[in-house]
Amino acid sequence: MLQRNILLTLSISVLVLFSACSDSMTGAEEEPVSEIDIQTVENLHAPSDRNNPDALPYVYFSLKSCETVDASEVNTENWDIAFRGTSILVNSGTSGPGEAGAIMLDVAFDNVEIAPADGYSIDSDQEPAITGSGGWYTYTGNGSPAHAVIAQDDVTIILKTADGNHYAKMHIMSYYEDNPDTSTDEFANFQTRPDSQHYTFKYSLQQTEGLRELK
Amino acid sequence: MFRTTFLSLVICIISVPVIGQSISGTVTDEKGNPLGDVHVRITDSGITTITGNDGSFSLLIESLRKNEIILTVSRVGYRPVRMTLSRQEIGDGGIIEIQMKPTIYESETMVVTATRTLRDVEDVSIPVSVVSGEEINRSGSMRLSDILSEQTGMQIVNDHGTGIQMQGFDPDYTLIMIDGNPVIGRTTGTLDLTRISVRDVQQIEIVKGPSSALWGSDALAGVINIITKKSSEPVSGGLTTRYGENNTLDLNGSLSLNRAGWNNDVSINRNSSGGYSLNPESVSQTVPKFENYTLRYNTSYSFSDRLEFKAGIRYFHESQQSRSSIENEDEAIQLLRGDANRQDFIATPSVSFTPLSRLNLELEWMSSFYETESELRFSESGEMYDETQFSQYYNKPELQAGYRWNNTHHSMLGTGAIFERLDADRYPSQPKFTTQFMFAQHSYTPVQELELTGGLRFDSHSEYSSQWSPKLSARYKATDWIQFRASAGRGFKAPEFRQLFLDFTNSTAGYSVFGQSTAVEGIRRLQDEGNIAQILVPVENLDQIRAESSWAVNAGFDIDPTSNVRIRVNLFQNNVSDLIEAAPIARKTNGQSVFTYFNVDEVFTRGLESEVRVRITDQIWGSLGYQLLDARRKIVEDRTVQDDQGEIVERTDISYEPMFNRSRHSGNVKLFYESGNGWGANVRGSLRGRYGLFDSNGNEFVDDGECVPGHTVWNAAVFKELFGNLTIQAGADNLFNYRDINQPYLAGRLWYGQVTMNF
Repeated sequence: MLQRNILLTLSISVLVLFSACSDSMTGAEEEPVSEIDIQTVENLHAPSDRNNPDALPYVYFSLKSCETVDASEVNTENWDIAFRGTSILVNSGTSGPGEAGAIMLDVAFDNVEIAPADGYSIDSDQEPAITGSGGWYTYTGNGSPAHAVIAQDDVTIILKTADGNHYAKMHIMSYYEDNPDTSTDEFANFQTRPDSQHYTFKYSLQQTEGLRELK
Repeated sequence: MFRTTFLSLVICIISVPVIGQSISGTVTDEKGNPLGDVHVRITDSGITTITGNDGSFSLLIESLRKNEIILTVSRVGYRPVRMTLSRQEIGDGGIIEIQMKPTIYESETMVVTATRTLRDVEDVSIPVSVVSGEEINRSGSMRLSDILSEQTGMQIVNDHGTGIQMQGFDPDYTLIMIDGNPVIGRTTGTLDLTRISVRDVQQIEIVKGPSSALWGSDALAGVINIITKKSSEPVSGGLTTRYGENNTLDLNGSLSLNRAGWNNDVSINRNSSGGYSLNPESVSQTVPKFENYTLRYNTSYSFSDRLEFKAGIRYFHESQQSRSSIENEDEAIQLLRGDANRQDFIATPSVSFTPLSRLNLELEWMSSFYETESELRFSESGEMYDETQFSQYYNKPELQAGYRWNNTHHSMLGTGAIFERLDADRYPSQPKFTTQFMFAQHSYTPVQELELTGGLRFDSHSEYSSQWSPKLSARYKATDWIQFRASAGRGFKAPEFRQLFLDFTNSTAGYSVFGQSTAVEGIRRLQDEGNIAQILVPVENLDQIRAESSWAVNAGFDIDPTSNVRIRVNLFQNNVSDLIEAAPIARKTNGQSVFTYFNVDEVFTRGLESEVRVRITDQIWGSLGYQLLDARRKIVEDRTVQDDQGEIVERTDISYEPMFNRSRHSGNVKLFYESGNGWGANVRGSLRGRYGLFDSNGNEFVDDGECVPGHTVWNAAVFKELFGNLTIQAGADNLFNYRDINQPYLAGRLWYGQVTMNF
């Protein structure tokens, strides 16, 4: 079940330097104010049928509302990002009518202070904008724990929303129900491993249009 | 002051000649007490005897047509004595008094692994550790893994079998030999050490550091050479039975018959276990029930002083019964019954010819095969679920010549070829490959205190690039209490069959893996079948695969601060490159990848190994071993990061990070007691420090959260000799019952009883 558990709106006043007395009376253009919305989403269930990958629809998600969007709205700009199994789409290119984009950054979430101006990828036939294996997760194969999808700590996804106006950073924390510790024997054992296809992620959305600050 | 060169220790007094055409004498220890069971041998003649309890011996020398004879006197626990006697000195017969001094190192023995010639372990320029047959018996060890787990710097690791980790290398990189011939048959790199019985073993020689200059492929981390026991008594033999928990039974019988010039040693071993389970919830046992047999026969015949024929055969067969389960589509559990058999065989006929006293030629042939077959059937219906079969054939002719120029120069030259063939399901092409090799070694001993040895080997292979393996080593005895050794060299490991020839498509997951030699054809075939969606690496761009290789330096010293203490220290560094890993080269239409093998990885391992051996009293002795290990893998990462303005830039990060399953600290403690009137006891502890177990975040190296705590395993045994030739022993392996599902070779505490009879 989708939960909203932290809603923190941070208003960061940007230091604006006014010159002593010029134009103060005329209502000078205000510097845009950074307003960052930090969200954590737990256990977003995005099932995929292994034997028939196209059988189930993607789970569409809006960053602004922090809620899922019905699959019938796939051809609108109401969603920014969509999940199914380990695949993630952004609303652009071959996936939707929007202008969303993504950059995979090898930087820890907390260390990303600003979104790049350029370099956003869109979904294409060849490649999705958000890299799965080797991107936001590592598949362990025959390693230990075996056949696990391990979300990467030092990967941050920089997103542009479907309207192309807002920047966000996102960190996928877990692919398993209730974000378990993946180093335990309990996780290594297939019998006791929590169900997969349950996303836990956090993101910071810049609510002010066009502003790239993310911290 | 304590001295190590045995020649200077010898005190021999030639007394009044008494008996004609024979040599008689007595052997005593330092205090003048007679020593029994001393082996006295006339070199190059086959004339031998054993001293009685009064220390006396007598050898008939009528048949000898020599003006000079060399007498070698040896006994376990004492330094060997070698003396040259002329006919004149003996007169018509002589009584010789020989005094022997005890050794700290039980390895007073001659070793062959360091130089391919029989040399005193103290004199070789490469450090060799020797585990004596006595220690193996006292420890109640049955299989090679049992005794190696108690040695310094050795870690038992499990990956498709029980293997040994040496100087931080995986089991793939240690060459295992029996009497100087490689044991074949590895499963994903691991040679299962439980295949090798250590009953009737004279000694195990362990050389650390790359030894490819002499032994070729696989000797990257080092060499373990098992020297089987060859008796020289006219008739002798022994029976050993060990029975313990898990229905573990080891039965061993040996017989040795020797006539003038003709020696025969036969040994039969049966080893079986009911298996055990470390995970009670699992249907399958951790180690399934098994039963195996080893038959060994060695013979040698001397046609003359100059010509000797030798042959050895060994046959091993094991059958194993297992249970397992699978889940079918309806999520119902179905039980499976597994039957697995494996066998290996080796035959090594050889001829040794000494046309001149300075020149020795040895021509040897080795034929060997290794076979496994396994069946998985549904328990209920008996229907076949899966079936695999694998056969490997190995033939090697080899010629070796040794030439002693004078007392300071000794050369060796050798050449040979290896023919290998595979016959297995996953290798439809029945691949063959051929190696031709040449090696040379020269030793220079200007003075007794200094020796320099250089060696070089060239291996030319039909499937991968040729290899040059040099090695240089030096020994310097600075004073009579300290000796330095240093060596530098290169080792290599040939790409494995799977890395060259695999042609495998996983029927359930749908991915494909090809060896380097089968990749081009395999990709074409998949393309023709319309299964390839995208080529990631064009097959034209595939480089010929290179052998994995390593440059290494070993340096250390032996110190004898008193006559009862020996301290050995060795520092090592191995820089390994071209490690082979699988990587995708194409994407299939089913979304899966096609893999082949590339030379990618680099690792280094470095550390310090030290061992202290102490003889506390005549009855109590012990040792302490320790290894410090730092094993790291080169991690290259292309990262997308940001510049000052927040724009993206690509950066390549290179770092060396800790490897999994390596303990930084490990060690062992051993304490032995023998009362002198037949009682004996010992306690041996192996300690393993914390190590990285799971790569839970997939970054390929050990982070703090991925380590598991270390553990210790204690083994103990008590024995009593009855009537001189019957020994009964009771013991416990893993006394404090350490169990860990990640250490499947440790069954938990095992009580056992053992009876040994020798005649």
